[in-house]
Amino acid sequence: MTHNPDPILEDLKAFIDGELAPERAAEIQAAIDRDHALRKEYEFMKLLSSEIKSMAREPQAAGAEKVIGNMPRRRSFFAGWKAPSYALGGVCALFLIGLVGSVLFPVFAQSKAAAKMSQALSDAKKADLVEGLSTGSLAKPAPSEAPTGDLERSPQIAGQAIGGGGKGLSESEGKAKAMGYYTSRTKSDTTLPQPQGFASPRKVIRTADMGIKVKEVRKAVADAEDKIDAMGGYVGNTNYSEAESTSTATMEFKIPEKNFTTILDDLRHLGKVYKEHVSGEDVTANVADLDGRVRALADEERNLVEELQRTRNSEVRLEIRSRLSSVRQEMESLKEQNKQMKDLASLSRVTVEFQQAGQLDESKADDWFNQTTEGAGGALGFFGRIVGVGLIYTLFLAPIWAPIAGIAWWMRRKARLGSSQDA
Amino acid sequence: MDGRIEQAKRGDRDALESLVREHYARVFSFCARRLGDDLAQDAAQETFVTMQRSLKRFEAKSSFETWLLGIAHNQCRNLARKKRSAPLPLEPWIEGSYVAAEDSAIDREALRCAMQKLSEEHREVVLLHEVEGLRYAEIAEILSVPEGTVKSRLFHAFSHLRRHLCDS
Repeated sequence: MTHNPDPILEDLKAFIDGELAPERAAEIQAAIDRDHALRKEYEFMKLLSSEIKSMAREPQAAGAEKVIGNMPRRRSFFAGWKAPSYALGGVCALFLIGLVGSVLFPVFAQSKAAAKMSQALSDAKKADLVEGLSTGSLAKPAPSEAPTGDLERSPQIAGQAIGGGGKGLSESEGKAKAMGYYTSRTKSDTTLPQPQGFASPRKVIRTADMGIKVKEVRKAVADAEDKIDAMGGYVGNTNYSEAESTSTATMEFKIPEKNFTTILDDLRHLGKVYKEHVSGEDVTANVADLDGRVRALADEERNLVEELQRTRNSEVRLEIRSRLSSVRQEMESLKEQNKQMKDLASLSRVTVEFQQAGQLDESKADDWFNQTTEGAGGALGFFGRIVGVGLIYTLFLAPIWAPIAGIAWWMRRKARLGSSQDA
Repeated sequence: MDGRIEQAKRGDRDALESLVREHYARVFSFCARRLGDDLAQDAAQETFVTMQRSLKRFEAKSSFETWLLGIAHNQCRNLARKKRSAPLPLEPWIEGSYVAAEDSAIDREALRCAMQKLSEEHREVVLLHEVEGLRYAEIAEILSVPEGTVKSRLFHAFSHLRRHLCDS
């Protein structure tokens, strides 16, 4: 078979399959009509296609009933609600529960900020107590115990108290800590299954983003650097940020893909992980596709070279050389793309943020009961507020909906009375 | 979009059963030609379970059958990987017994050998187009590759087949 670089030949299969635009199909048809060799090629391809079709096996389907029987039943939450009246009743019940909740537990309807302020006040008192003990001024009656004075300076004091006496924390940071943002942190689930022992030649571009609380940031960074070096990786970037009471460091490094899981395990042992996100992009199909295209182009190149050696006609030779040049160019470009993708997959990128652990922060994390009740109270209050708002709107809009509902009720009653009289 | 699909999305079991009954044979054949009859039932079952789970995400950008075959394709690939079987063996989709070579213009044993020599991706498009009868756009959707790639792979697959047949 001769591999002609003619695009007509390349479109021949698509022409047979009826996948070409009408204009292009007409061109191919004209070419087939005038070129005997092309006609032979066309007929052979058609024959080949029909032979493959005729060789295909027709499996007999079995097991449909079993599949239907084994399908897990999933019912919509509202599937059993046959009439909208049930839904209306449910909404009314929710209103009632919300109303009772907000009446019986007014404390939960308070704003979360006010509740947090009271917590900050309590912390401020503790801080004053500690300060009094250390300076010996506790014996004197403290004028700052007046509620207004405490409230005014509570955010700063809360910041100091929760940050382990650190004065470097800003007011907003103090509030954030007072509101338990650090303690309510979540360790996000990894988005990929652990690739441990994964021996197949898949190409995956892996990235990880971690946050770790450690006792000493600089020591943790040094330990991490040692581990990265030992595993054949390299650190691209390290940034330190020092404050009076706390310090953080951010590291970006690359590690060979085979050591990706190991380094993450090692990093987890350096301290307490407060955030972790691992992701991966599977580029196996892209790499395979590029490989296939490169192979196809290499075949085409070989054929063109053979053709060039056979041809004596200068015009044809020039055309072949031009085609050869473009094939080689395309092949090089694909090879480069493939190399880049393989490089990306061979080195995984990891970003780690080391943060110094605060002492009071940890004790707060242990106080799970208070946090849970606080959270539940806040949620109930929020729910009560929503229900209250709904109720107020319903009452205020009563002049609109109440007459309509009254007329509907009256008409329904009249209809019922009429039907009973008829009976 | 088919009304049954909308009903199935809302959790209507009858609509779901009707969809399974309509498409089961097609999905089973699709799986059987890749994995053999023994594994095809498992693959088909997994396909329909996944279909039920992901039905809400079906946006009718392609036909329902193409979408379903895309799921079946992934299930077959996963199952083949788990069983560590060869990628796309010929046995499940080519008849074992042939008509005598002289009855046919092409020696079928030679054609079978030539198909055996095709790369996985070339065999894949031949199977999807010639045997499953899918159009280029549908194959592109199932394999998540551009339509031009399907066209190119099919052309090269046939070129290789022709060359191998000529060589033999």
